[in-house]
Amino acid sequence: MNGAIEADYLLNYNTDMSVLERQRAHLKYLNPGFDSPLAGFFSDSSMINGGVIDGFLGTDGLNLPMIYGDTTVEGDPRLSISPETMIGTGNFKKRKLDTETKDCNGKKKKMMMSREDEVEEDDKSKLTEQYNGSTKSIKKMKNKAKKEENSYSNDSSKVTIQKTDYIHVRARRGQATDSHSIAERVRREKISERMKFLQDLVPGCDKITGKAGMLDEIINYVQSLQRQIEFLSMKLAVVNPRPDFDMDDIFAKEVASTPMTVVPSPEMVNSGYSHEMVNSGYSNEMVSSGYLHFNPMQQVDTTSSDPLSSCFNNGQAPSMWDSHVQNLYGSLGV
Amino acid sequence: MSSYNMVKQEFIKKWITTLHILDCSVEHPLNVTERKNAIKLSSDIAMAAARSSSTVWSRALISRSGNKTANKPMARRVLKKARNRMKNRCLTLRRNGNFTAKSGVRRRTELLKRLVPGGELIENKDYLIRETLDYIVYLRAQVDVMRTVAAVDSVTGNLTNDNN
Repeated sequence: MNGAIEADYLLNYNTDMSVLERQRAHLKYLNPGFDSPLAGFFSDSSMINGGVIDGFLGTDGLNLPMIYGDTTVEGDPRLSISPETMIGTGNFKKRKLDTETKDCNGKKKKMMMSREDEVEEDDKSKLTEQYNGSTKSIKKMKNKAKKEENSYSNDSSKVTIQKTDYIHVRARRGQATDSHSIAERVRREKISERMKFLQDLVPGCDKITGKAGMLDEIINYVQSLQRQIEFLSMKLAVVNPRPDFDMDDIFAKEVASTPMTVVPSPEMVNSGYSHEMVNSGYSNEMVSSGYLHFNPMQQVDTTSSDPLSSCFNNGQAPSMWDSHVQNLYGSLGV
Repeated sequence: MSSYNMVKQEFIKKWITTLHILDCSVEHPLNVTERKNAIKLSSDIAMAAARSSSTVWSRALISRSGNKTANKPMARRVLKKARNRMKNRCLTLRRNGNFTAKSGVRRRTELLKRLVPGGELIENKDYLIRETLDYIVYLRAQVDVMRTVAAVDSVTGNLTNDNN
């Protein structure tokens, strides 16, 4: 009884998830390590979108055309996934298993039906896991998954393996199941998803609907950002006597703004030292930041051929930075 | 917000490098306009380099900037990939002539294509928007960094001028 009710709920739950979201989660599963700059770019509520979208708007730059033709199945390593990871990705693991073992063209419908079953199972176990939050339910899911794997591997002997290049999408209730319209729908969903994303990114876009208006906003925003860059670079040029001069300020600002430990390395090579200075872990010992760029200065002086040394020699005397920098950064709050 | 901070840090790293390569390769004294161009050029290259050339706009920006700088090895040092790939494609597209698009969306996409570096090369509208998003993030990072540096500079401006 309970199972039937839950199954019903889960069926509806599944159909609410759009085709697009499933694809995306699928991609994210394939590429777990992605972190996009877009991820951290938003605050609170928009992270929900951003968290899912990152996977393919980030460093995965050129994979858009590949979404319709997915990468091939990775096979066995998936089957030995630990229960914890199976919780979130159980769906997709099973779908890959399906693509290995089922014929995509002729038996599409059957696949859909059987996948519904398996997804149902997984979701059921996912839900119960969430509600109970105990290891018992994890074991339950693991057993269920194993049972399903066995049943599917039995099926594989009957069915030929066709091309595994495509992500199989499921049609929602009451919608056309034609492959063209599905692809079209995915494309439209993707565009609208991205429009939503743009609304988060470009300020002041919530009221605007329609492609033309959105494009207008985007264009204005890009133009204004580019103009700001022009203006700011002019401003920097005016203030600094030489283009190289930004360095001290950038360091100090960078070092003060993000909570990082910056360890001055002994071998202050040209680009090497900027690397060392800026690229460290995150902890909160930044109070002495103002002194940190003195160390590179002292050490750089020893490498006389280094053009940096000339820059620093022409720069301000260390004593001046000492108190001023500390006060300034405190007051600016950068 | 931490990955946005990482974007900014990447940008700063690269910017420092490019600024100082540029500084070594150009003779001083420079007037204001030249300085401004140098700063802008170096920050554009740094922004594109921070994106590590997996996007169309970053490669296009590098190739476009490579034409402006007298010192071509600079661009190559910062971003160690062949940027000439993009350059030729950009040139041939511009030579094909301008045509005005009638309908609103089409006209605006044309405009957007001109704004985003390398946009003209992108046929697929989805892809264009995705590139634009990425470009906007990095532009924002650039603006934020420059703004903070400018703020610091203006405050300490009298200190620096005293020494000259």
